[in-house]
Amino acid sequence: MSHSSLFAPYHQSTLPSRQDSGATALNFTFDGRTLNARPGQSVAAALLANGIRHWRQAEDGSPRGLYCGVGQCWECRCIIDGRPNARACMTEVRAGLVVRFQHQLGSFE
Amino acid sequence: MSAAMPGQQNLPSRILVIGAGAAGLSAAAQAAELGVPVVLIDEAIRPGGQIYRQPDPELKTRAIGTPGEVSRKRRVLERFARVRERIDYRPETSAVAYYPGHQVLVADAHRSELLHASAVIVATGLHELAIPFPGWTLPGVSTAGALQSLLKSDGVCAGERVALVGTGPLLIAVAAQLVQAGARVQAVALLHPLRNAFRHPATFWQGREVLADGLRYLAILKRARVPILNGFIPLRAEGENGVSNLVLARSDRRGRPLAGSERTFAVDAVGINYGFGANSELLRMAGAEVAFDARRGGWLAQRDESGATSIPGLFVAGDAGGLRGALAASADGSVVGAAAAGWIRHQDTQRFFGLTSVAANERARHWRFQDALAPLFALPPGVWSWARPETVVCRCESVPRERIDRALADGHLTLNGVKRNCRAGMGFCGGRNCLRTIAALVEPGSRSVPTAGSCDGGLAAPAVAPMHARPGIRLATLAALANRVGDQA
Repeated sequence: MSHSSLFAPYHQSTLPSRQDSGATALNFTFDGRTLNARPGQSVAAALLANGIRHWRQAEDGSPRGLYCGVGQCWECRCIIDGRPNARACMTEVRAGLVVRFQHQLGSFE
Repeated sequence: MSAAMPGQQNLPSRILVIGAGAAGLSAAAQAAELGVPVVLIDEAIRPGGQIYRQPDPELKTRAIGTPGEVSRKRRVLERFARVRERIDYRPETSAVAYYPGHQVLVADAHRSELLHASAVIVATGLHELAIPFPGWTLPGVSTAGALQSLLKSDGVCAGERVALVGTGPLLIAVAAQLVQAGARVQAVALLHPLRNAFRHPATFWQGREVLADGLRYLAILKRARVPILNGFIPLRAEGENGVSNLVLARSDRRGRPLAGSERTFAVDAVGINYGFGANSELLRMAGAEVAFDARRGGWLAQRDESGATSIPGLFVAGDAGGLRGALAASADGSVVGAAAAGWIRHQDTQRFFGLTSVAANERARHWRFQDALAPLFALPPGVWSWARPETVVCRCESVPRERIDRALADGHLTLNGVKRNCRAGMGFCGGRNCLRTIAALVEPGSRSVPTAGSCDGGLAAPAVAPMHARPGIRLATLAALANRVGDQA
């Protein structure tokens, strides 16, 4: 929530949902914004399906998102339920999950 | 179910299989079918690895792949399912370190355990190789495999306007699968012309399944009028907090961009694949002999037909021992699973070989095909010039090309030396993303600085030694490491 003004460009993303329709939906949050996902999806997939590509700032200040997609590179790390450096591609999305943008090394909540 | 009784003396003689992909599933199933206790660990939530990746059944995603691929996947998964109850299968578990005497430290999100085994089969597969170019760290730029895994297990298209850059058959498959999922594929830029793969029909009859899949995928791309640009390479990806444009250029013979040949595509996702690197860290940590083979995955453990490495009881199966594809990997898994079973029961890897002769013949056919295919997609030396001085090479530690060049100019001419000097290769990924790039930069001839004056003992021909593989090849939290279970007092 506190960072939302910083991330306005992608918060305002208007890309339509890119996932197959059907199956029951669940809600989780990314930086305080409520998003829709389907059970069984990874956090990375759920963010991308909502038009969000950018969820980390590296130590040199550059923007990062998903890279290898299969748990080998940790580029997609972010803060999930208060844990920094969690791999978005290897974490299954759940109802009520709290996902946050990770700045550099991240910090515990 | 294996008796997981701790206690060093009465340890069951069991096989630990690391990785539940095409090779690991077949190895575990084969050993279990022979009545040997098996522990199978895998990082994913469901078995299958990458090629045979399974979505959550609730997701009801469309099946991705050709009919041939779908039926091969079903066969491998069904065979595993039949012996599943007899296997101590642990999903969401990583191998963190190998210690002498076949002890492997494994961890999940909450616990860690030192697993003892009489034999270990490393079936950890591969990772994808990218060649650094300006903008390759932008969100939206990923490996081609990432785009595919999103389709396969999540039912999600990473973008609406996608471009693929790289070499080899994977790109064609991913491009076609994206088209089927409704994405607009703006361009497929191939370093090597695809017709290379059809040049030797006699050899390629060996790989008829793979070629049949390839032709199906090409037909899909043709119908969708996807431009396949042969001999094109990425010049740069542009965008603010995510990729919005990809600029391609025609490549010269050495893999360098030709001036004036630029073509720009509006994209929101880019997939890269310039080959593969074998996940050989555990084998290297165990001290197995390795040799470098650029075309089949870098530093590969030396192995025999049974998968045995230079360390007795340590086996490698499938692509972790060098790229030869999923069909070869599942056949190889059967052969290696039987060999490891023979080894722990009779100290004889050949004891059950007769039971897997069909798999061994299958494997030989796929090996012949893959070994003919690999040289067609070898990387020319000019590709390492794509990174500008300021382009990040080591993504984890954000180390730019110029910093690595400086380390080399200062005489740090080994991978360990470069790592100690500038942190490249020291980060979260364990060097998987940048090791090969740095190795190429270290090689004389791939850069302009003189190579004299090494303070690190010089180079081992024909390629430098890999960075040391240290415990922690997969990250585990301190909480999980502190919460050690299953240890004997």
